[in-house]
Amino acid sequence: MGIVEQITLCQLQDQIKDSIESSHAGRYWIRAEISEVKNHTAGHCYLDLVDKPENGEAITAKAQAIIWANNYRLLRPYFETTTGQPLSKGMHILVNVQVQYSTLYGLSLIVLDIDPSFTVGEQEMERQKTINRLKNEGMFEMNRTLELPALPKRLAIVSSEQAAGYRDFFNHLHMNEYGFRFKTELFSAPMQGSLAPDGIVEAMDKIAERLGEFDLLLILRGGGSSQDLACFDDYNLAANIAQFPIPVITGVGHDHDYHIADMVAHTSVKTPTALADFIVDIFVKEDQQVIFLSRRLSLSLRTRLINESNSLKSFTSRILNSYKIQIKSNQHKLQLLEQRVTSNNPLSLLTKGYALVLKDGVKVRQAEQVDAGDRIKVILEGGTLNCTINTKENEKK
Amino acid sequence: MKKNDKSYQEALSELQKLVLKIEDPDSKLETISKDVKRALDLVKYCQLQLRSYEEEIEKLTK
Repeated sequence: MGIVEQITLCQLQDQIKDSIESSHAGRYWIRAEISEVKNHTAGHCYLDLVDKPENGEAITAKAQAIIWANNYRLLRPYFETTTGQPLSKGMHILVNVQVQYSTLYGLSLIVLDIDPSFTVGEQEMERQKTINRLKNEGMFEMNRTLELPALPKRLAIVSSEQAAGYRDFFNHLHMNEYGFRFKTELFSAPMQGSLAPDGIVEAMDKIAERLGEFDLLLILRGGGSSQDLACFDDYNLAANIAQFPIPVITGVGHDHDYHIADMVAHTSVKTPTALADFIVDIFVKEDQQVIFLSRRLSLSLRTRLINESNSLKSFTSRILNSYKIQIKSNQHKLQLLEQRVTSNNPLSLLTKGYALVLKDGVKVRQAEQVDAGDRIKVILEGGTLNCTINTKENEKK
Repeated sequence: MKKNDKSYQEALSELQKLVLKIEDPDSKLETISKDVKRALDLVKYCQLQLRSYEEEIEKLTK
């Protein structure tokens, strides 16, 4: 057996290191999925990056990447404010790396820069995919087609007891200025991070078991950081909300974006306080309607009574009027009759100096009715003269 | 729709009908006082519905 050239492991590794680092000396922008994140106590961040084919399960490439602490301090806030969440498992990222080979640890990619807009775009695509899936499965509008109960008094709440948003909601609802009363029951669940979707769904299942006891399901969060809200884009959570048998209202407490959970819910409002207002307003509207009806009732009653009494009054006055007219016309007739009576009474002529002559009780109108020697009565005002005619002279014609 | 809701909405629509009836000048005057009494009862009932738990309402209306 001849002498074979031997080298140490270290020498081999050095050769590999030289070869790799000289052939891949530049910087590379690479796309990959994060399969693991570890934050080191010293402030470094260790990532496992993988490539996964679109359809298959098995990964086709894997490498370790490191963001050194001095760089991570700068990259981290930039990434989190742009994407709204920290680097986490399953996330697709675009990073600028330098290839490094260590004789001890093997190949590593040193992350020099990161492009969060790529991740945002990927998230948006992912969201769109989830939305399309929900639409294709006919779930997207499902919860919205449920009718809100007229008086939603019994409220099941999924939230975290410690959340400031939950307390705000609770106080705002129960201390409403109108005196409306509600029955609320809290079903605790983690409201952010990767545990949130399953936790919320679990709480929803508990509510579903006692469905007859509630009018609405409220999912609320609020206060705290706006990070880690990607859980509200989760397909499973959205599907559960969409298919929930009673209306779901979300108040997840974020202004700048709108999550899939909000889109599939019956109604979504921005904050827990707004959610309390939403419910109280339903009652205010009903209350105003009842008040309006009772006012209209008393008004119409008054109008009706006034109208009735007015028509009664007008009847009375018509009756009185016609009565008066009747009396007047009767009085007039009476006067005429009286006049006629008085003007024809012969006795009234006596007062004017005329006299009435009677012979044997018969009125004497002409001289030829009597002769000399006849006895006649001459009636004057105040008495009667019994006379005998001495002579008679006929009127000369 | 739960029982409570239904009775609230029934009460409300009966109330609306009564108001219309009282407003109608052709409706009989003799029935008005009965209608008004019923309408006022309905107003009270609706306001109670808005402000109490159903257990309380059940107790009060029994």
